[in-house]
Amino acid sequence: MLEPILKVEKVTKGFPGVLALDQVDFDLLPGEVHVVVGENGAGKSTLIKLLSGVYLKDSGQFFLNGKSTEIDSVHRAQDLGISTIYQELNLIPELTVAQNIFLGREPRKEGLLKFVVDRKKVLTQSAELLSSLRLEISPDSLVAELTVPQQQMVEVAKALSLDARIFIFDEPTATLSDKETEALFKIIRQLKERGIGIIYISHRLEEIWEIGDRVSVLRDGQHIGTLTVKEAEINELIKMMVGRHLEEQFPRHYQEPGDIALELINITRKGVLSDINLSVRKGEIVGLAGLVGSGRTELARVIFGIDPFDSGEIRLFGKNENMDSSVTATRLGLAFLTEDRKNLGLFQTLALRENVSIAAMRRLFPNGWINAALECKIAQEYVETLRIQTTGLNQRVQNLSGGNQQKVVLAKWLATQAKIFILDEPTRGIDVGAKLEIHRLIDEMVGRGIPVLMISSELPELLNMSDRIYVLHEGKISAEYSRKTATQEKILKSAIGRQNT
Amino acid sequence: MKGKIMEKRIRFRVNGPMLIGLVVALFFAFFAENFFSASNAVNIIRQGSVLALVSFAQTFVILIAGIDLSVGALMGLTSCTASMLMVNGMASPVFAVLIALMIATLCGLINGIVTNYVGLNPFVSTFGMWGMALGAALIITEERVIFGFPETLRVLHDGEWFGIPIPLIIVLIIWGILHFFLKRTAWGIAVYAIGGNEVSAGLSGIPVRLQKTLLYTFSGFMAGIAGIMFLARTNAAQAIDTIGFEFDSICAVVLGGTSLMGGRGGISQTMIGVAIIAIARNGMNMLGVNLYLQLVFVGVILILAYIAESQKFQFKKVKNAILIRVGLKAGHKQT
Repeated sequence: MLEPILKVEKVTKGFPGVLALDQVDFDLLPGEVHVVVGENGAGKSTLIKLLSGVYLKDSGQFFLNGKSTEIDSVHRAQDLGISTIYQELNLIPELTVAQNIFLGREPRKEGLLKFVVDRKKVLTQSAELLSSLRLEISPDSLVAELTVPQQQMVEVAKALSLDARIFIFDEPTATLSDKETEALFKIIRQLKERGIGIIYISHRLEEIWEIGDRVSVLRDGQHIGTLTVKEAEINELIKMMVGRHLEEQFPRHYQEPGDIALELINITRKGVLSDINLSVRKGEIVGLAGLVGSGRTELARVIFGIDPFDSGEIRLFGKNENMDSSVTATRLGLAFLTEDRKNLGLFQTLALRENVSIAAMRRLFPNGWINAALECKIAQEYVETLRIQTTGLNQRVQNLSGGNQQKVVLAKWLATQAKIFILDEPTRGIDVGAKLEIHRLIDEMVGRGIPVLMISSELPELLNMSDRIYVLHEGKISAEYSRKTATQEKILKSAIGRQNT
Repeated sequence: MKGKIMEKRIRFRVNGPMLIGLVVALFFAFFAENFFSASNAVNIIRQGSVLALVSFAQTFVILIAGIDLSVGALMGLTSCTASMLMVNGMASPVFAVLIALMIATLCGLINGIVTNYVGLNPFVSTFGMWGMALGAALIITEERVIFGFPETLRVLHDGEWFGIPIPLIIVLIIWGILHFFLKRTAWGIAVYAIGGNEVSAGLSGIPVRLQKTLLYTFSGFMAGIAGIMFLARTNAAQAIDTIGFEFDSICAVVLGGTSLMGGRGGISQTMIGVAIIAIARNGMNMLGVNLYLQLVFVGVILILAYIAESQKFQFKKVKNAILIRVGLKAGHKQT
């Protein structure tokens, strides 16, 4: 039996009004990937923040290599060899890869010129580090020019240069495509071989079996259990996470679709999209699959009038429309739920009721005066029908959980009485229970005849919710599948542009 | 290797602000007689040197996503303090200058502390300092113009060394030191890091608040040096004479292409911005454009430059929107 490099014993952390972690036990062996799962608010991020020195624990103990240790600052955590790779990456885009890796502890020249950075050393040492990870990233390219997964790799290299023995990955794959995820897993396996212990947080349960050795479940700040991956089983895990059985993850009632609501004819945006033909009917969910960068979000932006296109037509209910701005799009009854809920979907500092009414101002208050009573009434309606958990209509949305925030975004568009919905990653970063609810709401919406175009990186979601699925590859539609003909494998093949049909 | 090529391409790119500034500068240059003469070139350098010194420090402050609005007033305070001490015979010229520089540095330090430790927006804290410094300078000079200094001071402006104007030598030396500091030392990299992402910089072990405070302090110090250089040029001190340098220095930094959001740009770019403003001002002077109208022109250049820098500006989109509004192009009827 290996000695654990990290042991957490009866650790408790409270915030005003909540007990975020309640006597939690946890341990990590060298060379293992220990996955931590749980719904939002279960205490995963609190645990990470305690381990990385952002928060201080109230009681309990940490043991590193068997020795009781305090982690009382971010620097202390770094000195102890604990490196956290956050979902929001912490690199400086304006600096080069090498400069980022050695930021704050640059090797200096010898002797009198001690205050001068030894650029050669910075470059060669980072090059060595990157090649030891078998990465093809040039150490003197600017971080701003790298893709998100490449930036993640740079963070890994940076952590390695700090001699980290414990890596914490906070939802690293949330923004990655499947191919990029595979590349990341390769790196993680390399880290394992070096005897590094890895704590891995994820909402994507299927990843547990792909990369994990053990899995721990947290719920409401409590440690529910730890299983080896071999004995773990998905329904059992979900039950542990939500405390009850979830009958079905994808509730969907299919119906015969109606007339064509949205039709794209030969839409081309030079260098981004070419010859896109696509249609969405009333009462139908059309899925849009593809790798990150294949043009999915770009297409949504063109439909919604944010980006211009060079040729082609956008037809709404059979009529060719000049979609020149998002203002036009909303007036014509389009709704666009962006993938970036935090920055583009919501006004974080405004209250829930203001967020609900903001897109429907013109309809609700045609003379320009805000009728607070009406605003509250409408917000209250959506809080009830969408089951939004909130302390009140005046709560700032930044204090809501991810799932509830997404419901507010849905409410915002429902309030405009939009006739066509474009959903970009509607359940990204949302826990299992809330996911089910969002799926149920989408199903209800479609049941009322609303057409939905849904972009998603989660294939099970696409396969189980859509009537039809289009696959994008390098800005072109590479395949179209009906609900019956679509399989995970076929979509993946089309997404990487390798199908033989 | 690929990375290296990329970096070079970025470094040598002529950006929009530069282009606009150059066009404007050349416009004035061509319409002014005697513009292309050796004596005028020296003149431009002498006039531009003061602006260069303030703008260098302003570049640092803007690189960390801050701003220093107090520099113009601090220059005035420095020149007025130094001249009062000299004229009243309270201190030797060297000592008077040193005391004035210390006061300017102290004001910069206060800017830094109020901004970074008390936590005020630099727009507020340095604007407050602007008012305080200007008021103080007006009080100590009793709103008069102070003159009658020893000739030695004028060397800083008129002097030559092997035919090279002294102010140019001073600017070149300081430019070299600051450029080296910014590009080659850990502190310089930290300036970019703080401007790019302050939180990450802190997580990487950079003392963010301390460094930002020191950069504001340095800005005060450089405003002091510029104030003395200005005094050497005009040979007379007046509190309000240097008001406007905060505006010109921000202009020069932006014209060079340093981002107001921080993290992007550099000293050498600012040097180009300074040259453009110095040339434009000189051209306008030669054409006899009055001082207030000059301000209008510099303002226009600044705004044009900023539009050119902003990536989001899409001329076509704006044009179409206008055409639709006035009914020259088919668009959606508003309902």
